[in-house]
Amino acid sequence: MDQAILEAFAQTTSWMCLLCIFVGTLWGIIVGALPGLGSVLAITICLPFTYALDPASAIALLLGCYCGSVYGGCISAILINTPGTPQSAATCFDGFPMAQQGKADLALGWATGSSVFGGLLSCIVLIVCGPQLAKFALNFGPVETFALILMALTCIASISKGSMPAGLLSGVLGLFLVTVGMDPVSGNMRFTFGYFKLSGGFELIAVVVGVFALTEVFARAAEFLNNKAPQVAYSGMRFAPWHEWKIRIGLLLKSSIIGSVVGILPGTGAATAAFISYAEAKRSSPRSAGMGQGEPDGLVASEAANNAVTGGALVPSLALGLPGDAVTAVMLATLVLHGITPGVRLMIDNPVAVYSAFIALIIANILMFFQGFAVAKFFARFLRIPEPLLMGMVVILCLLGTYGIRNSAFDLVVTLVFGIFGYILRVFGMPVAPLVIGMVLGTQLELSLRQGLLLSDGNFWAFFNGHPIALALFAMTAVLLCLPLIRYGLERRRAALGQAAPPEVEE
Amino acid sequence: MPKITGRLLFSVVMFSIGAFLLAYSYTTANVAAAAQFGPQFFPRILLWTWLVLALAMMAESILLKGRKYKEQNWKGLFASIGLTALACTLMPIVGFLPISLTFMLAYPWALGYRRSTVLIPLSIIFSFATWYIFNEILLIPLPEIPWLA
Repeated sequence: MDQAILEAFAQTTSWMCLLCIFVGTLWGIIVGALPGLGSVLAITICLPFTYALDPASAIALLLGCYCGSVYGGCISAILINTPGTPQSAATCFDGFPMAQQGKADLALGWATGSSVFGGLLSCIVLIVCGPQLAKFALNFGPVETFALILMALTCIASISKGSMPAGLLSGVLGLFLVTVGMDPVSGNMRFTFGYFKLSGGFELIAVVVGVFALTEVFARAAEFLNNKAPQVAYSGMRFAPWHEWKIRIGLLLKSSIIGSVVGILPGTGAATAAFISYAEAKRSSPRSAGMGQGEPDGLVASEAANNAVTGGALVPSLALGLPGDAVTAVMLATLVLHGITPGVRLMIDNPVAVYSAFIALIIANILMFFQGFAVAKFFARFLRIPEPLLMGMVVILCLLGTYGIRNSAFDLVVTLVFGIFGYILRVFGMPVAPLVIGMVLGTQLELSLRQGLLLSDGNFWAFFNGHPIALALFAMTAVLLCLPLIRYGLERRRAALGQAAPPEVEE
Repeated sequence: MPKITGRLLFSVVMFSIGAFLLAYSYTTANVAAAAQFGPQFFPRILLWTWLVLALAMMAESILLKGRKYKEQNWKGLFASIGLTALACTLMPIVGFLPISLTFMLAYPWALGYRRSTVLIPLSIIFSFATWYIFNEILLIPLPEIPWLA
């Protein structure tokens, strides 16, 4: 293990890897600051650049981009009251009032400091929890693996935005898409309808680019794009004096822990973490009376929590190979491109790649502080880029991302079809993240099920006998499936008590 | 259109696709390969689940109250899809540079941004810079212009 850490350190501190983290973080900040684009799009645009890189540099680029984009969302939330990413929606509550009071520079300082603190604390959580979880995963056979993937998919689908059947159907759709092409066990063709090009199945990246990036572009085009740049007046970034930070260290710690824990749970996301943390700060802060009117506590709570999600979300992804959200699904898809198979043995079989990711995340968070400070004066310029120009560039980069995988014109068509399909799903309120996560985990789910059945002589009930871990995971899956009924019961109880329901958080 | 009707229609379409795929998995060609835990075993479990979930969506659409859809910029949407489809189809035939140059002019224009002083230089700089980064630095070959290859 020590050897792996040393090797990972050497890889991550190579000039190429450092350059990737630098560029990725900067790119993430810029895209994150542009309203409506978000972390997934920022990472998807970066995908084509990873093809020529080694796995450590590729993951470093994407991690930098992830951290940068989550942080970048606060910029537009503070300056123009429009969160760049959904994760920063809670930042608007106090960030924009501060900007209106002429303290935009100070608000950016609070947001940057809190984001970096939250991000770094989540790295510690990742480094502590990741290897322990991976060690535990060594006990997993095919039955446990099947139960774990089933539980994760149910969790992601059931707490996604919109209805539970829609989320689950999206996940099933993703699992089904992986079955198109050659059967991994027998080599028989499935659902190719005699069309040769389908024999290799759907290229995962082509589908990812389609359902995330092109769908976003089409959705933005279907809204009325804003060709006029918002006017913003401020002067760079300024940090509050130390005594102001000192009285908020407890809040910073609490918010970062909330973010890290929420990040570990599959399917929850940074927006949920930020709102929970904000609500907790509102409940417990001695300065809660000023929250919503430009109180730094609101900024600290929201930004520390949403950035802490980055490390938390990587815990199941890197330790168990289970993507908890769309961003980590794209990252694991990139690992597949580099010949690394996601799964419960990811950390055991590829320790260097995983430790490189740990180190890259720490470096990205530190770099984010300096980059945020350095480019603060230019933030307003990013916000002036007209959306139609931006969308045109996004489309071209998406097409290159797809074409670059295996120089296939067919993949371009797949991307387009899934772009349109993703848009239709979005219109009808079906989340697309479970679809991609289903595609990432589909092959492993099928193989573990078939292996488990072969080992138990075809007796499915044997899955519940002599496998306590699997049994616990199946029980959790059953609870998750009952979640709508539990919610319904709680709502009825709340209605009976005459309380208002909490606001829904956008995905 | 009220959301309830649209969602119900969507659920029906999803159910029909699922039913078709399930029926296809039982066709003669597939039966031969459908031994116990064979190639069709897992897809069939998924397709049966698909049908149940599509039915649940239908029931949900009928039972829950509907909302109206947001007003859509249909012109923008179809322009965006149409131009992207053209770029996808023509890029492998005509090559990256002509398509990128044309697309970067046409796309913003179609979506209402018409400042040629920005569009023309941006289209040229973006296309050539992208081509250079991919082809020369990252060594990822992009579709070539056939008459120059």
